[in-house]
Amino acid sequence: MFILVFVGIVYYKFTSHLIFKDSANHLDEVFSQSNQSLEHLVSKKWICMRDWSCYFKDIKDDNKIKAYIDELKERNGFTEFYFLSQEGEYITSEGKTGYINLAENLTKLMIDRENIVLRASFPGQPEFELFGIPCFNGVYRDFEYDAFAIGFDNNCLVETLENKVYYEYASSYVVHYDGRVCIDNVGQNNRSVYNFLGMLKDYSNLSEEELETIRQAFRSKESGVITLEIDEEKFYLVYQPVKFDDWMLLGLVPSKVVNSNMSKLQIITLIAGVGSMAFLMLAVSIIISYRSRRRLRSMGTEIKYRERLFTALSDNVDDIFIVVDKDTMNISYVSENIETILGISEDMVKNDLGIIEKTVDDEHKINILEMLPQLYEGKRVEFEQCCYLNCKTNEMVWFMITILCTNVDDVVKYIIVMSNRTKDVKAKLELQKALGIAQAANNAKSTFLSNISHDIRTPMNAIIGFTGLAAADIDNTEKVSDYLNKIHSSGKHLLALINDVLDMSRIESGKVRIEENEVNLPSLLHDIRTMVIGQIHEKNLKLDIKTDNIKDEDVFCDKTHLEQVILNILVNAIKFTPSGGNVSLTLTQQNMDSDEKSIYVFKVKDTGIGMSSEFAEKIFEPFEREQTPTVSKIEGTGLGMAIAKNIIDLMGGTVKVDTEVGKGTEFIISLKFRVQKENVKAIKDTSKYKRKKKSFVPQFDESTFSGKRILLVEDNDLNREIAERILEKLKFDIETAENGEVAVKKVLSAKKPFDLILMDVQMPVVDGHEATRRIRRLEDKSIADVPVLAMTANAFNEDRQAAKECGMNGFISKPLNINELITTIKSVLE
Amino acid sequence: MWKSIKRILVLLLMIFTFAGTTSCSMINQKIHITMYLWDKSMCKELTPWLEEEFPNVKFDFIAGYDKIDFYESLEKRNALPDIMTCRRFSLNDASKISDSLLDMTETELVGTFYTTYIENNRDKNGTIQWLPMCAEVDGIIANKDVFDENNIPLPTNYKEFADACRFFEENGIGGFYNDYFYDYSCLEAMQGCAASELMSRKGTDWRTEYESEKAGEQVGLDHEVWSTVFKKFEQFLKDTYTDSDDIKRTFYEAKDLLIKNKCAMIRGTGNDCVNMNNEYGTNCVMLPYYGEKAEDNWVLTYPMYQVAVNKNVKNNDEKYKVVMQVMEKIFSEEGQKKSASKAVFLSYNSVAELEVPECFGPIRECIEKNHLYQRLASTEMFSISLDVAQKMINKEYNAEGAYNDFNAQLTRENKSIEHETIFSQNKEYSYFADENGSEAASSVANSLKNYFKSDILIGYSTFMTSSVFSGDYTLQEFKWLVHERASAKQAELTGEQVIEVMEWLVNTKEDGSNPVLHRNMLPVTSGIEYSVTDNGDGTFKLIDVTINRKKIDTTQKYNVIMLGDDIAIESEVYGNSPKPQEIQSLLNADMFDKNYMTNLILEIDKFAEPSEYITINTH
Repeated sequence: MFILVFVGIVYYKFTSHLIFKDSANHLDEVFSQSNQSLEHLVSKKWICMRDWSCYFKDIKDDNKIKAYIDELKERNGFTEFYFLSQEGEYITSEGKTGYINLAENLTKLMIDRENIVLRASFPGQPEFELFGIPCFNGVYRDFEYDAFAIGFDNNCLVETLENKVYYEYASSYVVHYDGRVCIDNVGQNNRSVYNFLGMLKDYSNLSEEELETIRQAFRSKESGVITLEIDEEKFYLVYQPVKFDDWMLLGLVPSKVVNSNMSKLQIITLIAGVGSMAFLMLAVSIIISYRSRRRLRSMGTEIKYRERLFTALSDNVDDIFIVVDKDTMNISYVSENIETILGISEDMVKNDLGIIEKTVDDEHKINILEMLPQLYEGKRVEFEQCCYLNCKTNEMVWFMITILCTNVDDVVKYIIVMSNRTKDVKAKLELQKALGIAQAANNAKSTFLSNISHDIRTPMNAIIGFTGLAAADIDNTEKVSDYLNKIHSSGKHLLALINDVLDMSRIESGKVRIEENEVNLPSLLHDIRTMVIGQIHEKNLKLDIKTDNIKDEDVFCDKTHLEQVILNILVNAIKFTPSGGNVSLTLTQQNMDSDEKSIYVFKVKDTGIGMSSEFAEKIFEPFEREQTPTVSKIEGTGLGMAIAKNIIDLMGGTVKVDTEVGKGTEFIISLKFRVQKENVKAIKDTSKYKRKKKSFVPQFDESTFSGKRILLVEDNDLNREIAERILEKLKFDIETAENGEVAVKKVLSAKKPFDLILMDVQMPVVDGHEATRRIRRLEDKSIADVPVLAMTANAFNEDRQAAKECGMNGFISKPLNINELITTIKSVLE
Repeated sequence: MWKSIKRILVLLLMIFTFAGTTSCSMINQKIHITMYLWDKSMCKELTPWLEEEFPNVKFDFIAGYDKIDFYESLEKRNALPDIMTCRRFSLNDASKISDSLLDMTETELVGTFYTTYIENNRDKNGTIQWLPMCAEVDGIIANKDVFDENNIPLPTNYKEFADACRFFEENGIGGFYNDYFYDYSCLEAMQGCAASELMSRKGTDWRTEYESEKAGEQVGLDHEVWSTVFKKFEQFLKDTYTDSDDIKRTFYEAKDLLIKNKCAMIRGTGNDCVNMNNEYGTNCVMLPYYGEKAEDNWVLTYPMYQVAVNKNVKNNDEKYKVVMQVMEKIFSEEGQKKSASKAVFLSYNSVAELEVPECFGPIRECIEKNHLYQRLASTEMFSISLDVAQKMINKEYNAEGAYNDFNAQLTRENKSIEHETIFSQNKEYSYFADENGSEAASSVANSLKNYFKSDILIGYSTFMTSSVFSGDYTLQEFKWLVHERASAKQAELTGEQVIEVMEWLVNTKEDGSNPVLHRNMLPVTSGIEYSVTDNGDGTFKLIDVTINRKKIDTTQKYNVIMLGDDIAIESEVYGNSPKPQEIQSLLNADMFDKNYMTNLILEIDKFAEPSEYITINTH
């Protein structure tokens, strides 16, 4: 568009210049004709007057002269004839005298003998044109004259100024060098002017410099053509010097008249040219525009996709993006997720970036606002582990903050990226915690191994030592019996140690589950009494078991574990109470917590050695035994109290220790049990808890199992041999299998069905569970229903449960307790 | 295009910016134009008419001195008025202040003037700064009744004029009385009686040379031309029976004799002639300066006054525009008529057609023949003409001696004591009056009261011609502070008579005559204060006269100095307010101290502090 306008202007200026030059030449020519006609007229007057002077020279008769002048006046149209004296006086042909003020022209005429033409006036009369010539010295009516002149009214010369080309549209002026108008022929719409330069000064657009140029031209009688505006209308001004006096001929013609045709042509060609160019440019513009639009559209699409991508990113990541204008510090963008992450709305942040600072954890404070001005263009800073607080959730949120100062199109902005690292930090903390735990576990393992190593080696030392002594004294039955007795005792201690270790391990691995059974608490106390009464007697202690204020004797609880807890503590009390001391177990029921549950407090009190307060704090930690001379002699795994404490925790209860060295200890156990609405008849069968005579020798009843076929499935040769020997003692008809697959095959191939299968659980090829399931799946029900007893070192409840689920009929734990084995087999075969 | 847009924006900005204020300034702040009057007679018709024609202009009309030298002194103090008028004009004098005047050559106003006349005002640089007001005739006023009563026809040539003079003188009637007391009367008689010589080619050539003389190159008289001038003047003095008594005669004395038919002819202007006929019912006519033949008679003319404009008005476009409008108004046909009263006959421009008054009958032929001689009126011509003419009258030398003396004075370098600094004033007081009077007038009035040691001084009107400037003064500049016609007279008046004087000077008379020619020209007093009511129509009413703000004691006698130009107030032509007879009789008839300003300068080292001598209350 600008090019079009530029080309149009250049073309317009170029053609305007051409038109001006052409018009100027034309006007100069036109007004030259007027000028020539003016000069010609004046010259003609002077020539005529010279002719007349010849006549005046010859004729002396005033009357004839007057008649001649009258004739000339009529013929030439002048208004008056003046004979002029040296002093400027005149006499007319009629004899009128007077003075014509010729001023400097008088000298010019009389002394310099030059022709004159001037504007003259008489008082009270309009100015007129006076043509004068010097002549011989003559006399008319006694008036001596040296020159004569004729006067014309204005019309005489005005006619010469009539423009034959532009007619009434043109104005012509004859002016003095100072602009005063002598003669004018004013065209239509032009003003009557007294002073042309004054008029130009007041009404034209000419500057003082341009006016001065014209003044100089008038003074030095130069010609020229200019264009100007008068009353906002454009004119051509032509100025040409007139040959006589200081006159200048001026022509003033409206531009629209002079250039009417040329202007039309100029406009038409301009329109045509500019139109063509415009069309061309329009076409080019359309093509460029089309291409640009396409490019822009694709760019726009790209930008939109990027925007979408950014929006999707900012919406779906936990990072916060903030853009701040460097100059104004106004926030131009805040990602919407800031409300989710920091609990502050987008608008609040836009209004005051400082609001973010208010959520900063002082310890990890980064003042973003203070940081921004210090950041120069193109630079970036990063801050790790900046902690903020979610205003709504009060959760700590960790960020890595990156601030960039960027310049795009001379607009400098800060981009703040708050990258959410909360998960990483939490994971790190978890890892650190886990590491701590792992290290603690490792330490515990080391401590455990250290402890267990000692505790295992001690009985093992006795077993191996006494075994060696027994072998050496094999023939001395009494000594051998004594040695075997000690070996057995050490073996039992070792087994108890292993059981405790396993219990502890199960509790810590969360495998122990608390089950609720119907329990009659007095019965339970009774059973416990039965279990420990032997030890009481052995140590010559006094045991006092009593209940107090028990309203609800029947409750739901895990009897086994409750017994284990009470026994552990009670046995402990027995252990650490010297002979003659007292041990008491008291059960009290406190107020019902609710209709269904009630708190029961078990207090185990002794008058034993007591504990130091330091040890009392660690009494429930595994393998903790107070290192005192007294304690060191007492057997114990160091796990009993830890097991008890863990079970109490699992049962939702509490345990408290009140102890004093030398005075005794009291354990207070509070447990909450659901109360049974109907009393359950207590089982008073206490026979199995009766302590038998203290002898490790099994009582074989050889007739019981005589002829019974038994399949012993055991992969371990030694265990298989021990079992074989025991079963042989019991008169069983024994077949063996080293794994489950062989066992199944033997069951299938047996000519006579087995009465019982003792099945190890953990075996190669096919384990005991699978083998049992295969047997149970056999079509021949006579062999498929054969009793199977699990025989395993995994002697926990879940193991029992697993055995039951795969179809086994009972469970015998290893190492084998012969009496227990007999009892179990009996119960199965019966 | 952009230029036009910028112009429009600037214009709009100006419109919005000044929309509220421009109108206020136009309404509340009138354009202030100061105009110096060559004579208070301009206050009769012209100045009230201009105020009427330009209601948005605040005019300050100041009656100053009719001399270019006076304006030159103002120019030195940068105190030239916006418009200045001067009757005594020559291009020679005008060149002294040409640097401060507006060049009007290229104005339309100048374009309206006839070439023949305007060329007389073109200076040697080709510029036209002064424009001539219509022509005043200055010639011989003849009481035709006296001629008729004595059966003497009005003369048609010099011989008849001389014969008439002789006849009247022989019959106990003054033939021709001229007031040779004044320099202009001497100059005009001298040039008028030899107009044909001065209008000859040689005469005009010499005049052109004289008018174009450069500083330091004094052009002396042309012997051929001026020898004849003095010869003719010598003859003229002889034929008109002029003697030393005529040197003391004032115009008013001569006029009085003419009115009373005790004299047949006096020197006077066409204006005087018309006014006498109107005022006194005389039958006076204007006669030319006679030549040997009727064809050689010439009428002496000069522009009523010349008008120039301070070029500083161009600094304010709005003011320049208004000043030029005022100028066009002054040179309009109506303006010319108001300037010349009813005695106009020739306009120098084409916009006015003036009729020749009936009493100009005897000079009508001269006018038609264009036998109009424009006096050569440079300042030195006036002063030398006065000196030489009076010496010729006193027979100190003949025509040849007069020529020599005249020529010698003309070419002599002027070193007068009046050009030396003899007074310094350190405080400036403004001419322009506020509600409490003019500080300048009060300061000078207080000084003069002290000088005269009188109780009271009453200036008829503002006798000051300018502000009191701080700085050095020559004696001439000091004297120019007070108007030359401000004569001082002394009287012993009671308080009641003082009030009567003030009522005469302030109150409008029963026939409507207003002694206050202009608001700026209220009486100036020292020793008394007075308050007036401004009626808003150019008339005022005296309310009170006090001494030190206490009512004047009407019975006590006071020594009073009356200072001013009572002609301007009393003349029917101007104020038309005759002095009360009682006061007239109490005034000392003669000016008891003609040179009071010259003496004052010897008495004081600075002007007295002004006082608030007037309180003007708006009606």
